[in-house]
Amino acid sequence: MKTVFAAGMLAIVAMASEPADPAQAYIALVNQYRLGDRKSAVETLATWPDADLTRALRGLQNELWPRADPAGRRPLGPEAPVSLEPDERKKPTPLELFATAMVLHVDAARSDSSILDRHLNAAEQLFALVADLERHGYRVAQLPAEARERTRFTGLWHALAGTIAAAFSAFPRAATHFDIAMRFGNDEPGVLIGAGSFHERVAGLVGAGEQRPDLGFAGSYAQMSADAHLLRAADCFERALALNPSAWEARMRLGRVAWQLGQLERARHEIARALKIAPDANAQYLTRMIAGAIAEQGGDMSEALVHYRRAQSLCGDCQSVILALSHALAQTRERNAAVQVIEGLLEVPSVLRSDPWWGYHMGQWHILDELLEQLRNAVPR
Amino acid sequence: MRPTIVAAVLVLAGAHLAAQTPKFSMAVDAVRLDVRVTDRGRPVPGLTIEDFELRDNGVIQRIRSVTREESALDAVLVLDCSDSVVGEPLQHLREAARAFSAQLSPHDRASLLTFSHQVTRPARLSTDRPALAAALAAATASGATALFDAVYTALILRDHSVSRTMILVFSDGVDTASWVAPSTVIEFARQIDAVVYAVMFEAERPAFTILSLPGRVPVATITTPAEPNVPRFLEAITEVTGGQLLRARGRTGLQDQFVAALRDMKARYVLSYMPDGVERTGWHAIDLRLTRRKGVVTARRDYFVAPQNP
Repeated sequence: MKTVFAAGMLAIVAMASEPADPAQAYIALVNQYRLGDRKSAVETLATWPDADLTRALRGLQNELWPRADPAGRRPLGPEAPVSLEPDERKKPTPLELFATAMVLHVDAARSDSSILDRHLNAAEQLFALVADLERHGYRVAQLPAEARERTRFTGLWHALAGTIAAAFSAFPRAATHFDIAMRFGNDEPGVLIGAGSFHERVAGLVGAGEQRPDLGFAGSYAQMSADAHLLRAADCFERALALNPSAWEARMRLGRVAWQLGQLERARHEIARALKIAPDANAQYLTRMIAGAIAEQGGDMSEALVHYRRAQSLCGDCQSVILALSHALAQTRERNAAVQVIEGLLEVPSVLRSDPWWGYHMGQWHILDELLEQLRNAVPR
Repeated sequence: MRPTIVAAVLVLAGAHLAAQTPKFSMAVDAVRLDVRVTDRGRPVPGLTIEDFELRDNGVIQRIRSVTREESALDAVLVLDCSDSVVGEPLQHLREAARAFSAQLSPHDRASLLTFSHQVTRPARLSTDRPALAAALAAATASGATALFDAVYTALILRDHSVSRTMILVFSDGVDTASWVAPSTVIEFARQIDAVVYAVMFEAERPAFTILSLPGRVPVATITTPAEPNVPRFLEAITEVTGGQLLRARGRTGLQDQFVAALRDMKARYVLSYMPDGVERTGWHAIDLRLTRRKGVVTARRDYFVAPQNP
């Protein structure tokens, strides 16, 4: 009983210390996130029910611009949690608040597929709200004429949303985000690599010569073949490389896509270049694995084995290289060795295993924290 | 990947066959076929050599024996223990596997492979039922799904066995983490003498989460299926190996289907013949029909004999 009572008291204290109005509570959370207490803000927002979130978003405008002045303008109230004055550094501009909220939502969306739509939708409502406010003459930014950073933020945000949606296999949603990202961020290598990775994955799901209505795509996406997705992926990676020739991931994925398109010579060429710029052991591992698969496809099993053995030297317990080695050995009639490597894998306790391949199809998920940081830094004021 | 030369799926079972049917020379390569014959879904009993007509690469062959095999069976359970079976479904899966195990003959061997994004072998092939039961009891569920990797593993581990082998695969309809492509596994299965049965079910709506442990590669896990690449894979692999794809209606139907798969395997005929009038090496297309009885014949459609190592 004591415990229950104490918990009840704590709940009452917590309620008393929090703003009762959902919009106020929402703004407080966004500010908490903006000021660096991100984990707690994300965890709190992730548990918000739909109804509270809806009320918060509806109340935002009135919270920031409570009423019109006698001239009919809508200045920010003196008590507003935002400011357009550059010297009032503690307060964000309305645009900064909205953009930070968008980042917070995308940060929350990655935690669970069951809240993905809720939070990506909320962020999209904020995009629409900003456009609406500006259309009706509200000032939301210090430098409304500076469109470049807003465009960049929009591109990065949609690329991130697309990456998260794709990781949760929400493919139609991811497609929409990447399409928007490509319109706004087509000069960002990260956006291009994200979009290319998405098309690369969808190509694998569609399969050669098949239609996949179950994937839920509409419009032109529903008609796209695996090769069409691969070509689009290749285009994204090529554009990323034109902007940054040392982008290893773009080079490696371009090699894999060329291989899947049957362009073996090109695939070999790109993978050879990717091997030279692979920045770390994980990158080298994945590139070696793709190099091995390309050599295997070309019938050069000895070269494939060389690549797989190099990959094995980088990660001896990685399941993907053991399976690749086993299959290559089986194909070269080294059946005993093919079985032996598998036996070796099965002796490794599962808790000790990790494999870069397991994250490959999740696009840029492996650098999601970096992308979020990049997005936070790109928040326009 | 292109089909390449590997060791034969042909049953190079001199010792094995010699033990059962001494009239065969140990030096002679015999082909053994596991054959399912049903009429309106029920096994057809009492068939003999005269009831079958068999062509190997178009050439009629003399069937040496037709038995309803009583010899030991190797049963490999390949069970999906990813996030999608957390909780009650895992319990149903355990019960289904236990029921399967209880139907095995004392001389049958069984092993357990489980998979999430990782493939593990909690129980090696043996007649030790308590060890299998303990492995099932200890099985836990978490992580993504690497079904294709797991089936490849089961196939390659079977490679050197001369026993009749059934591989029973359970999955719930999605693969998110395999390295080995499904087409590669299917191609490989054509070269291995094992019959693959598969039990699967499909749930209503997808739900993914991300498994992200410190210092590990994050993987997308699934709690219900979304990408129907697995049903197509299971249909194909059961077809090329002459097995059967069974669909469970809800989780509780698993037990019935596991037992049904084993009974079906046990009700099969085993045909033996020595290829005559055809090239020894390379792919052999098999055409098997009934001559005097009505029924549906299910068996692998081809096998492969690799050239001898120099």
